[in-house]
Amino acid sequence: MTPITRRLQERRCARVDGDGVCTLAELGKACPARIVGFTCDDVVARRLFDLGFAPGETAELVRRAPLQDPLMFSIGGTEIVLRRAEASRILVEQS
Amino acid sequence: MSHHHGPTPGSIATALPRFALVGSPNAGKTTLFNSLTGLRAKTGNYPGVTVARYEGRHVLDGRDVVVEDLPGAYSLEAISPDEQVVAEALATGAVADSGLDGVLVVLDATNLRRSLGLLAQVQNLDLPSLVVLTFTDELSRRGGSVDVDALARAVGTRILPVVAGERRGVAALSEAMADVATWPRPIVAPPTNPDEVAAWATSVLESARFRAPGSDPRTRRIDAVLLHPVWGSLVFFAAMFTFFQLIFTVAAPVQGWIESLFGWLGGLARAGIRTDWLASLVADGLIAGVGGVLVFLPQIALLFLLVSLLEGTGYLSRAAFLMDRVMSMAGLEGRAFVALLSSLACAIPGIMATRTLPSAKDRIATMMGAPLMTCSARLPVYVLLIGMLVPSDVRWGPVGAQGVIMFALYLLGALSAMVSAWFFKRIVGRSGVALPFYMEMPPYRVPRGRTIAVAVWDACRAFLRKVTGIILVATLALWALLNFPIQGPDELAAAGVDPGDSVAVAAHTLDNSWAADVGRAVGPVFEPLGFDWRVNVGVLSSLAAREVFVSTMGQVAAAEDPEDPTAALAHMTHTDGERAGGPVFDPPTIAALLVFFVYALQCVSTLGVMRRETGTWRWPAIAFAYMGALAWVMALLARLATEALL
Repeated sequence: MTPITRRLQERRCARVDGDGVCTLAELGKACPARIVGFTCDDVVARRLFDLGFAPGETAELVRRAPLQDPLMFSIGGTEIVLRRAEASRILVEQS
Repeated sequence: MSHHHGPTPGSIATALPRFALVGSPNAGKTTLFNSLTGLRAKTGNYPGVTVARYEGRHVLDGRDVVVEDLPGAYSLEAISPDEQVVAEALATGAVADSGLDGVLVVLDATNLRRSLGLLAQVQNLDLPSLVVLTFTDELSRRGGSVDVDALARAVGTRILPVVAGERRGVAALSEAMADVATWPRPIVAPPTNPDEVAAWATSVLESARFRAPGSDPRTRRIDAVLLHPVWGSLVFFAAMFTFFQLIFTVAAPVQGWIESLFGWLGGLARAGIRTDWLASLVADGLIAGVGGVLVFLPQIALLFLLVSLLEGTGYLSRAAFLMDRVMSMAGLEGRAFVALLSSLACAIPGIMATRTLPSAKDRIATMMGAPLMTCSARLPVYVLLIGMLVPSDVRWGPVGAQGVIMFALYLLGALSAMVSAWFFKRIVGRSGVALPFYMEMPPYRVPRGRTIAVAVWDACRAFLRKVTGIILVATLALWALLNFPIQGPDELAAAGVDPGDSVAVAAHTLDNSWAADVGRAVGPVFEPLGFDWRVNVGVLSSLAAREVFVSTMGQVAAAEDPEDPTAALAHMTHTDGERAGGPVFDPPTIAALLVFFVYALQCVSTLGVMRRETGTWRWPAIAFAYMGALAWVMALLARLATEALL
């Protein structure tokens, strides 16, 4: 996927859910947010679910890597590292 | 990476009861496997895939049972070859009489909510299963708690808490394994689709009065420094530099002792055996061959010690976190960095270290790039050739020219490795689903000494068993090529060589050997690069191990001291062809030779390890072919560039 089509897709998926909802990649540090869903329901989403990023769970951005990618999240008592590309598939609602 | 390695690949004992260990990565499966099987494990590959298979024996009531450590899996809905192996193993294992007698599901108590998803999937299979709950000590330490009995009732399976493979827990597990028939099963299999399993997991955790652990304060404090953008990066570079330096300061002397030992043994053989050719066979063939294998052990042992420590403490994940962005430019991920870094000492432990990569495609791509990292065997060759190219006192600005060239060669190797890995990732990665990147950050833990010791012992034993054969055969073959036909006294007299002058005899033998015939025969191939047939013989001999080039060139040049043939080589001239009379080692040729050594895969041991790690000869063959072709082309470019510059 080229960067342009990727952006368009993200905007399209995010727009569907309205305000207060953003992707996990856009989350700020130390702002816990509740997971509400995924941008696209596919293999990657299922894998993120299996890792613990399940709807209803609270995720928090712990830190970013020196070059702003990947990102470390705290979820369900564990710390999991995701790249921006994967994190931007998870929709969260700020609490 | 704390595993066991051994001889026969994938042997399945038929009559013995079999158990499989299932669980997510980092759940403590391998520690448990080590505790159950001790040092009695075998390794191999699953058929058709680059996934390692670990099987061991455990003694139960005086009988042996087979325990298989399946690859870590987050879910049985597989998205990687590793997980496919697990899903298939459990599916076929459920077939009566031919498969598994029991499944041990290893769940991390600090990660219980997520782990229950995997348990639900396993419980839907028709297999007797038992849960082993690990890290219960860490759960309490971090302020969490769980009622194990209530959990067992809620889940419908027996649950045994085992802390880091400690003896009492393992003994209880062993007793339970003896009694598979008594293992309870849930009355109703739990749901597995995402919407329902979350609700199920919540209700199970409520009945078990599970309190989630807080974050580990120690880990948070340490990570505040080690993952700080500035301090963390500095510590990281310092750690990697130390890692690298240790190889040279610690392993190198030990390697020197081993080389001296085998040199001494070789001397004994030569002195003791009357027949010349037999003495040479034993000394230069067998003893040198075995010595050539053993000389790798200090590096392998030390590298595995360091990598196991990095992995066991949890720092490896931090290093991967810091390096992931850079690695992703080559299509790889952060964990590939350690494998490539290890290859700076020797590609062999580097290739073995690719086991830390979950993606099989990443493993292959990294393996294809690793030999291009400037390994320590190239150094004697570089030192010799650079010494002939540029005298040691020449300076370019404030730095010595020789150092600059050496650094440039290192840089060329590293960049080529990254490009090569990127290329192979694209080729190999075309088929199948692209694996999303994710990595769990385990809390910092003090690794168990036993786990580290087992990992190092394993790696060394595996290397010795699998690679000795290949290296020995190659060394003997090369010895034959370089020493036959044997020159009898008549031939020597006819050629005007004094039989008492061993250096001259050696040079004459080499000049007329089968290897020399090959060297002349491949002359046309290397002619554009400016290689004389004697250089070809040297390159041929370096196929066994790169550093052999130096001693072979020494013999070819009839050098007084084959270990330092610089003077003799500098005076060597072409004997025929268009360049007759001109020096063999002029700058364009030296440049071509240096670049040739940067790229060519001249290490039978590396081929052997690649074969072992991928389970097939295809990848070593591809690596040898592409690197050989690349070496030729780049050497030609280097020659042309040098000619243009001078």
